[in-house]
Amino acid sequence: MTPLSAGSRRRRHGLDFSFAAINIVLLLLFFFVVTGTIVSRGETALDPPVTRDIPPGRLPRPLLVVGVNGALVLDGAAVAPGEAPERLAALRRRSRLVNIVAPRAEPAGAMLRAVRLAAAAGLEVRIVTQPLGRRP
Amino acid sequence: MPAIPFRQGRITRRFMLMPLVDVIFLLLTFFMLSSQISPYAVLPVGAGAREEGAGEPQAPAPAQVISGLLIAVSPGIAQVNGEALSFEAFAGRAGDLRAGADGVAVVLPRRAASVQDVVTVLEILRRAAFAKVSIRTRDSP
Repeated sequence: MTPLSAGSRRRRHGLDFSFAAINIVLLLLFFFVVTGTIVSRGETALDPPVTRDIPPGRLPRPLLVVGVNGALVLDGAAVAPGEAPERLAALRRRSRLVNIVAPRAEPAGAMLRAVRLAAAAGLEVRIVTQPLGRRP
Repeated sequence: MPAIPFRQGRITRRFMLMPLVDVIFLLLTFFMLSSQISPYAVLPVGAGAREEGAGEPQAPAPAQVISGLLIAVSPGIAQVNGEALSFEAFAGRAGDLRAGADGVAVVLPRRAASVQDVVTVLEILRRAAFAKVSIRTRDSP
């Protein structure tokens, strides 16, 4: 009876390094699924205002982005200036609130116009901020 | 005629690892590229932002009709009932001011005020537990 070589022993027991690698990759996958939020292009490109005492969370939905030039993007879809009221009214049928994010360095006028439009549509408004010290 | 023994081949079902690995890697790549894990916070504005005065033609000056704490927001400065305070000073006095205003505050952002200025004031009011906060703008349609 000849002793088994290391390679044949590994084959016999079915142990493979790839299983460990897959486990790690699966853990990474679970991490991103649990902690991440799928975002559209441009939603995270702007710097939201900073707050100190508000507990952090995920990037909320539905999300109305007020761009640098006042352009509105609702959940990744651009909103023409004239159609904002009807888009927000349509949003009101499926949601009672809207989250608004705007660049912190911009004048507040564009954001306040968006707040007014959303409030006129009957939506509860929340402003998206970034907790201090947790900037990406 | 003797029967010929038919030797059945064993069908072995092997676990196909590589397609599973491909799918998992594709999912991982998708979530890594499309998801955002940096934290955000939300500051409720609520029904106070309904702009009670919005759209009313020739509305009188807010200071004449609004009761409560009037806060005009300029860059870095909160003008509270006419007294200019830095945001830090305003944060330090917000609790006392709330008691004198019955927990009602009206925020009037000036044209030069930035988003950060308005959010800072709203956060100070939230921290001081103001019961009702509303925002008024002058460029209402």
